[in-house]
Amino acid sequence: MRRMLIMTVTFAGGLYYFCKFLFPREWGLQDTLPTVTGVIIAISALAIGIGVINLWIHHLQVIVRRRAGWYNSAALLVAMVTMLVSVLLKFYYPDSGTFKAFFQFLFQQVYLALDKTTFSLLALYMASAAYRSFRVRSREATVMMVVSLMVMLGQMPMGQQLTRDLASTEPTWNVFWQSLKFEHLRAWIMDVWNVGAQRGIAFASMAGAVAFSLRLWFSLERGSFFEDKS
Amino acid sequence: MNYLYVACMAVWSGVIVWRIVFAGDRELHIRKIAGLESIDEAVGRATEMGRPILFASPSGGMDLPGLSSLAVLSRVARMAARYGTRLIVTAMDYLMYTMAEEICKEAYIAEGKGDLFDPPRDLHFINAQFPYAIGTAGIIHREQVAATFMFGYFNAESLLISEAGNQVGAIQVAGTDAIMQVPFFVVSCDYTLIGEELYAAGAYLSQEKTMMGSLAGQDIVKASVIALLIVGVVVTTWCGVFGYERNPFVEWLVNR
Repeated sequence: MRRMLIMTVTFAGGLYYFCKFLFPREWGLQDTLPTVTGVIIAISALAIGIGVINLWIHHLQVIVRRRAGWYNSAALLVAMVTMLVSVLLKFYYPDSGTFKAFFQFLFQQVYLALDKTTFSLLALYMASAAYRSFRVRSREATVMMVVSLMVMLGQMPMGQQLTRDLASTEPTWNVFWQSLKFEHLRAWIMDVWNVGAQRGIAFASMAGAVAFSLRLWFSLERGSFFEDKS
Repeated sequence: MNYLYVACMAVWSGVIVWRIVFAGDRELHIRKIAGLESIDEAVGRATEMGRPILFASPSGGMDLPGLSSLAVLSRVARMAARYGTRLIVTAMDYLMYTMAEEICKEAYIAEGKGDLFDPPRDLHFINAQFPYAIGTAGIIHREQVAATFMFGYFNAESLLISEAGNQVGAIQVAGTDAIMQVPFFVVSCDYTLIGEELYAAGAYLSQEKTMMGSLAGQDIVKASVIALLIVGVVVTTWCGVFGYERNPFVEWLVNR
């Protein structure tokens, strides 16, 4: 019964969007879109509400039973209530500078600062990951390192300076030497080879997405949404 | 509406449906995908080491890559339940969290070990990008996970999570169709599924004939796209050499 219900709702939803895409605008399916979108938003809002309730139940249980890491749960609930109170105070007393400053302190000086700190870690991780991948351990790694070096040199003013004087008085040879400049090699690698590979991946992904969507629409996808047949 | 575009989509969809419906009993060969083959190896290694497995849900939420990642989660959860290995799941999208909980419950019950699964302990929900990344990285370090799985559409958090896994020496399997994140996964993970391989995961893992039929249909679609590309190259070259006005095919195409 449950499986049948999910299959029916899935198929009906898929059919609606398929027809909306395929049929002419004059047929009126476009006009029903706000209603359908409203239903989806309402379901999502219910899920958020249930999520907040579950969050409170779970973390209160952890605190009351003094389970491992209970202080993290307490910190979470305190932070949640503080942020909620600051937003409500700012909303109901828009003229109060104190409440506005309190909210801005929490959001800009605490939350955003932590967010940016985390983001800055990415630079460190990129360097460590790049170091690992550039180590010459195989033919593929060597090719990758050489190509990466060319791209980096082409990107940097210092690298561009290295090949600045490549030129010839003979026009044909001049074109050849110009093409060997790091900035031109970088552009060739990035705009031809790299874009070609990316478009290849995008085309194949599109085909995969169409096939996957159809499997979902017809409820053929196993092992994830319904009982595993295998 | 561009009728040519709609016609292409209709024909491609029709081809895939045709291959699904007439999948028949014929055995279809699918090339080995190392990333999916390694799931058993990763879970086995975690079991031997007595350390948990982590499945990081994608930040893209319940989009197509996110939905396809659930097929892998189902497999990982089944394997973890079978061997009694702890599975930790982190989610950034509330719908993904609910789906992940449901899938894990079903998988553990299917293996007759429903009591082993403890959502408050093993399921984590963090609804913002960098808190999600750093929270997941924290779990990886604290729990010293032995294997991590990252499937679906990721953004900048991909490297933050996968590098954390790399630091604790976890065996890492990732799959994404986010082109910008593929290089990050390639350098920090042991196995990476790229683009369409992610969408093929469900079919590959189940080996069911109808699903394999959809992959065969997908191959026909790809062949037709390649053919269209060749036609495009020939037409563009023709226009470059003889001029646009002398090409009746291009004229017909543009006028449609």
